[in-house]
Amino acid sequence: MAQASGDPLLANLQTELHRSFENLKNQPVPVYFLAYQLTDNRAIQVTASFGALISSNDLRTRVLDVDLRVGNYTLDNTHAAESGYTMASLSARLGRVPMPLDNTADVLQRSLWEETDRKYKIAVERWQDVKTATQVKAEREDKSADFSHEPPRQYSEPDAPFHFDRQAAEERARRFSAEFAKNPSVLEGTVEISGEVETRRFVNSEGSAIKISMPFYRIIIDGSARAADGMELPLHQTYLAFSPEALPSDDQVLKAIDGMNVTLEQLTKAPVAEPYTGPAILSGRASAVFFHEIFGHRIEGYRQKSEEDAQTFKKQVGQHVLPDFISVYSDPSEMRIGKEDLVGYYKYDDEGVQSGRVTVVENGVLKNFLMSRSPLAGFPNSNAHGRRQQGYDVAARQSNLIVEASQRVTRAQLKQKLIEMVKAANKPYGLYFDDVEGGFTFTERDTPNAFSVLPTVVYRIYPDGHEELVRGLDLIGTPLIAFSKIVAADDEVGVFNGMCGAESGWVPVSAVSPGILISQMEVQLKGKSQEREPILPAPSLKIGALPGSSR
Amino acid sequence: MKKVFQPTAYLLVLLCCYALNAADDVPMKAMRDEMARSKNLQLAGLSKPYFIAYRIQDMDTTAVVASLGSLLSSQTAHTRVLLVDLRVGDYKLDNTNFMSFATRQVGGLNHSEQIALDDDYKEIRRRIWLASDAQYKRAVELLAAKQAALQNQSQGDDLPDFSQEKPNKYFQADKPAAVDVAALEATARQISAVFRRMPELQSSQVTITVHNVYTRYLNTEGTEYTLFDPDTSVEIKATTQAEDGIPIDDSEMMFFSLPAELAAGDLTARAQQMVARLEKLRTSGTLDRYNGPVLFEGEAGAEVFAQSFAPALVASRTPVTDNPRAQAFLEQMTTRFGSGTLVDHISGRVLPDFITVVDNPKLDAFQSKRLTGTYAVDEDGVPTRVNTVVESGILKLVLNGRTPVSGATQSTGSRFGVSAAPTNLILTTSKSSNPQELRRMLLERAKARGSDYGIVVRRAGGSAGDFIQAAMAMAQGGGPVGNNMLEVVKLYSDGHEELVHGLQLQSMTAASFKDIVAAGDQQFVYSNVFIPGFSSLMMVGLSGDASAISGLPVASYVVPSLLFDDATLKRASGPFPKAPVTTPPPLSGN
Repeated sequence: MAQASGDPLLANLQTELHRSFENLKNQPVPVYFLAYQLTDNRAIQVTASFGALISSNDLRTRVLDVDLRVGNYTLDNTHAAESGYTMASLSARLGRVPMPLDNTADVLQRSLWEETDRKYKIAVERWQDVKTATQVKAEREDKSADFSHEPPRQYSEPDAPFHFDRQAAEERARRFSAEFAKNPSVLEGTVEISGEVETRRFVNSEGSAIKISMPFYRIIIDGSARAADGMELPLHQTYLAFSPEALPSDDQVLKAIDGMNVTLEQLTKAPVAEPYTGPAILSGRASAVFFHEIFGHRIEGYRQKSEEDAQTFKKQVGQHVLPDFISVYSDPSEMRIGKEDLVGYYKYDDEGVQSGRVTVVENGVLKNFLMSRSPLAGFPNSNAHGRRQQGYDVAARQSNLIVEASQRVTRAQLKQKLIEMVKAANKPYGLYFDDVEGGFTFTERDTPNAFSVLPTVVYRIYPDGHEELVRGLDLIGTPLIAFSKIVAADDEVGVFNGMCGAESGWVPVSAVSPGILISQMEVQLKGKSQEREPILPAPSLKIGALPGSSR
Repeated sequence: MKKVFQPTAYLLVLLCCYALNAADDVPMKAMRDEMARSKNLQLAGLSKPYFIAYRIQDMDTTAVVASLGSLLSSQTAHTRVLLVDLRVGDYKLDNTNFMSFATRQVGGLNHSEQIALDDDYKEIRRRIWLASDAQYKRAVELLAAKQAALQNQSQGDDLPDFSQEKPNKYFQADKPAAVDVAALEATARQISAVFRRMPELQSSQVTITVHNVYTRYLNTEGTEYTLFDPDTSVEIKATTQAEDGIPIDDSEMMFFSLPAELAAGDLTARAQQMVARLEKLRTSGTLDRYNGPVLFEGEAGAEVFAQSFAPALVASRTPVTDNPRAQAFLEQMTTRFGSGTLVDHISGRVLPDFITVVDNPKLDAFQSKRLTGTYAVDEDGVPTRVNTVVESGILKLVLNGRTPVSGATQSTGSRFGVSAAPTNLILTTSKSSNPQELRRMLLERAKARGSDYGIVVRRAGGSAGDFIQAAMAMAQGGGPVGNNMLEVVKLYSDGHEELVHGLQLQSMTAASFKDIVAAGDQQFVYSNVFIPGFSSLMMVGLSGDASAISGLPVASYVVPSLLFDDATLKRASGPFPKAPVTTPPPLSGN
């Protein structure tokens, strides 16, 4: 086995991995693969609301993930459970052995052993089920192996520097959130400032030993107002970066909150949108989320293997799935684009596979999937997209999804095209989705394969060119139809940095896209609470003055 | 004369008011000012609230966990929570004591939310304003739903929903103290390192929790109080497996007021005793089943009293629901497992005539041992009092908060956490026996049953976590689970003892305590988290308010050894966890 240089903890993991592997290799049900991933996380998080601190926490955690396989690379205990979301994996998550925070070698090794023993017992049970299932059930369509062969990797970097002044952050959160107090229509106005540093140590029985250490800083701003009809109007602004310097300056944040105040005020007065289909423009950020949801989740490899999944693209490799002028690649090794950090960045994935650029769609033609070490027919290897939140089983997930257009127009030209389409289709207006908070999609066979993108700022664009802010709608559709309706892209590239939650937990991801024009898009009304406005006006120190009653 | 005194009296009143207002900190002032407005909350055609209580609690919690001398976690949290209890209707019928299965809403639990840690008057008032508004809307909806549900069912009794109590004022100053986290971590490491010497242990943990709570309370009846309640606890637990595969879980909880009272040396000694006990138990024998006299010796008397008798001394009301089947199920469960089971026995015999039980919140120590249930007011601000619960074996009252039950319609000043709870339960006897006499009586009774040995339980063991697990198992529909008895010995007539492991006490209920035949002449202090009755737990479960559980009160019990004429112990049945497949890496000696 390769020796990890310099890092005593990594060496510790290797020692126990080696010892346990040797012991378990010789059991009646032998282990053929064993991996430990030890994730150290230190996170400081402060939140303030309307100028007052509401929470301030500093938390250290250490979590061990054991990947233990019995059987062989072709068929093993993980068979048919690649989605990582089975009852077995749920029970494996519960009752895990807590890891010591102190680096006491013998205690750590004992904890590793204890968790390994627990996972071995679960694996042996699972293996019995797999062997029975392969005999009594029909063969799966995809006959690919359960685990890919990958070269062992050794890499170690020092602990990332972590600069986070908790008191200063508390002061900033207070100062930022106090901005919301200027706007009487705002009911919730919070600012969260956080910093964390995560160090992942990975060793496996094939000889890999990897240590990567990454800091992560963010500012999350939430403001919400309520319209007179009870509709909640949330606005979010998230900044994520790998260094404090890459976050916006105080002035920029304050300016952004002022902008949110203005938009919230406008939203409370904006008309409620109607269900509509017709041409629409998605800004770069909106389009990035659109691609992440409807495209990105459908190229995650294991979904093509799962017989429960709709496998939208499985048989379409080499065929056109997007317009000619669109190419898509996924590149976890890209740390930033322009000045913006891409939070889906990593050097090695959570199975120790080295990251690099993966061309997914070239000039509209599907080329590849995002692969973990769970192979697919025709795709026997990982391309470093095996990811997890600590405590979950690895699955193929997105990282940095980058959409490029070979033909681009300006935003103004894109709007002009939209107006032409509105007129041609004899529609009263088109829609412009300026900002979104996120979205979701279903990819299983037993649910309609729909997606939804949740916009926060939407304008109607009328044939005469004037724009009107509206509220209360979600963007919906089905993937294949939506792809076929993309007609143009602009030159304003937007970046969406966010957290993506799926079978293997929450992982940071980025999506990058130009603004796009879609010839036909459908929107539906947002869910709306029945809550009325508060009965009494907001408390005021001056009796008689009724701030907030202007509506 | 009068004229001379009047100005003085006036001045006195003024001074008094001044003093009170000076005691108002920012959150208290915000509550007071916003309450004045909230009294007027009203939707067209609906009534205003008839009762509002606000509570703001500052909670500083530090929890450190260590195992084998190494830290597992260390967390510090400062939170400030606002709780709103808002009632519409009237004392007779209001929005509480109601569970709506249709809307998954529970009427009667306080709404709680985290608010600003800063003393920011405007922001705190804003949160109280919004919370009151939401609670008012919820309350009027719940009351309407409750009235609708009541139209479809006949209630046997005509109990009011809320008792009327005299206004009360009580003020205690906040004494925030910095917690030395590093020192706590060092202590936890030191105690937990004791377990390094026992490689057969499967797991071991030491948890130290420092929980300082400062509460401000205000209601529309004129009751207000502030309370500082510091609390430090240490839990030591370890698990091993006997040679026959039966798991042996040992745990101990110790309660202190301040972290400075922790004496690492004493705690280390407790951990050492646990190791010694587990080493003996691991290699001890077992026993299939035993029916006969059982002596709960020393602290075990208090433990069994706390587990099986004390919960029955507490009132618990079965809520009205909008689902008759659920209601029937609830009532069944409450009768079967819940507390309040003794409420129908008021004036009836529940213990032998030589036993008296007093709940005494005024005591803070017994024979220089700390008692945890010392309070001047309960959570509703009702003054606490010394309650004689059982007098010469006859049940006089059950402990209650402001939710009336048949037979207990007024508060006894006993509302702590989600329900009523005991504070310091002191069991005294008019007839007692020394340890030798007790053992002799045990053997005589065993002999009369044809057994050449009697059973002595020395430690029941088990902490709050086990109780919660047991409550969950019961709620899942199984019967009452047996209570694990940790340290049990067979005492033979020639005086020799044989340690046995893996025994569970079966079907020990409050009714079993009538059959106590003798008590010891020395009282032991035992403290533990008090788990409320089934319906209170169910209400919390349905509302999903986990914070209510973390606020469970700790009660103290002062009880002598107890000899029962008849009890059943049975060997725990599997499946038990499999032994480890491979050998562990060695731990270096300590």
